[in-house]
Amino acid sequence: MMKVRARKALSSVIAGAILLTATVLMGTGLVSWSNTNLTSYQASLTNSYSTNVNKLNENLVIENVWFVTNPQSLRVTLTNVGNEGLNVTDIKLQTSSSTQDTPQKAIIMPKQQTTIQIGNSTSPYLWQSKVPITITATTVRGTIFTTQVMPS
Amino acid sequence: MHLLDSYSQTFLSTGQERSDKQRENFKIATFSLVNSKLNIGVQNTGDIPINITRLWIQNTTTTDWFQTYSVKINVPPGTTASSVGQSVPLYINSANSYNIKLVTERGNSQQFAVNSANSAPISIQLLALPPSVASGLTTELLMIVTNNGSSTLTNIAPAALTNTNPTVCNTGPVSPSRYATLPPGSTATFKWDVTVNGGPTDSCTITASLQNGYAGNSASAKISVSTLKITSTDFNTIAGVLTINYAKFQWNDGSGWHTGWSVPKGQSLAFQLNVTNNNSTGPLYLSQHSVLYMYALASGQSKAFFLVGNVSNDISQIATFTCPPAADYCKSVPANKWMYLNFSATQTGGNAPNQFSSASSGEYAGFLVLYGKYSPSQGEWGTQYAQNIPYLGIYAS
Repeated sequence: MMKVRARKALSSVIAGAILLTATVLMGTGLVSWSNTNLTSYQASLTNSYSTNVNKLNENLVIENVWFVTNPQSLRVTLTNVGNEGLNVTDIKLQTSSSTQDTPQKAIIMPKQQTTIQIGNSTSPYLWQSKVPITITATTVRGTIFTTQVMPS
Repeated sequence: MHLLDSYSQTFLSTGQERSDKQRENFKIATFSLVNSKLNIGVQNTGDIPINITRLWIQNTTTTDWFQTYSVKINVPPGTTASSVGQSVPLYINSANSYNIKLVTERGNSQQFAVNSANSAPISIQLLALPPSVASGLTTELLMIVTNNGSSTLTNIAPAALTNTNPTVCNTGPVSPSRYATLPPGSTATFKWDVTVNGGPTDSCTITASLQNGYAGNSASAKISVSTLKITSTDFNTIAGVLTINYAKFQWNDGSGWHTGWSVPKGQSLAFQLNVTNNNSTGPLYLSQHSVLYMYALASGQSKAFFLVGNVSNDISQIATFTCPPAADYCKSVPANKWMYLNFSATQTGGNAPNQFSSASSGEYAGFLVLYGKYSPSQGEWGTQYAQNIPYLGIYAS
């Protein structure tokens, strides 16, 4: 005749403790993950807001354009009439027959102006009388300001 | 929520700035040079204040001459700021032309040109109204200058006129003498009164241009002297259809044709008158009843000298005014033509010359009474016409 030997199980107290520990760990991880995400989103939103507001506040005027004869070139005066500083990174001159891009790095503070010469003695800009030129200034934030002029 | 509020606030204020910029509106109201310096009047025609911050100037007469000046002039809505440019250390050479631009704080600008009619040709018309006038009368010369450019012109004044024939066309002073400003698309009008003196073939050509104008930019007008014409209707109302040339009045006493008002008495006489038919539509067929009646002012011996044919120096050889088989209307004066008519006979259709009796010396007032008909031909009825032409006078002695 076989003898049945009785075994002892894990106590319910220990099981409860394990479960509680696991729950706490999982909850802490979830909260930590959420917090990281929210911070990231907030930073992104703040950055996006700043970019758009700054872009919205950019206000540039192509105030005057001189047609210089010797050397044949243009002197473009840009005035920042907005409340934010801006950085003109490109000026494009476009006629019906040609397009010329001139990269720039012109930082203009609010209410200030700068004059950019396009063309020089070694590389003149050959404007023609009575031929209209479309001038486009692009800022680093991507705002575009344009005007049209015509040499007399 | 804070970010959204801030963003919308920024958006609104930016939109307001853009709107204000669009609402800015101003123009160059006056311009002059005072002590060789700019004296600009700027009128704020918008509904918000403007602040002019910069003045750009280019001397277009020379090459690559540019200047920029900072100014600070506030112009309330509806007002005009004067003396703009007087504070700028810039002296204008009136022989040169300049392009000037005023820029506001919001970035709007107005450009105009000084003495710059010479920088490009502009539209000039010269009209004589009317182009043909009778001697002694006045016509009006009109110079129309239109600014077909893109910038305001200033100091627009006509140069001295070029006149090919000053003795024929005498021009008066110009009015007005100048326009201070001429905005793009606007027109300036100058006028002169021109008095014309000369014959029907005389004329003159007048050329007008602008002071400091573009070389060759001028306009010409021709003024001709015309003959003063009165329509036949008007003339007939005043003087009648038939007229005589008083200077051609002649008489014949058998010794040839004579002029003057003194004729011999007691001798056969024939009178010759130059008669013009001013009717432009048809000939006048004369009746034998036509007569030169001499009314005696003192003696009471009035005489009638009836229409006759040809008269030779032999006063006894007077041809009757007849043309058998027709009874009358033997001779016609064509339309708008003249003809010599002879008067001598003592009676209608006769050939016996009349005379002043030897006892009837004195003054006589003559009346030419012409009878006739306007008709296409001698035989047709036509329209009867008769006229009395006075103002003849002789003295029989």
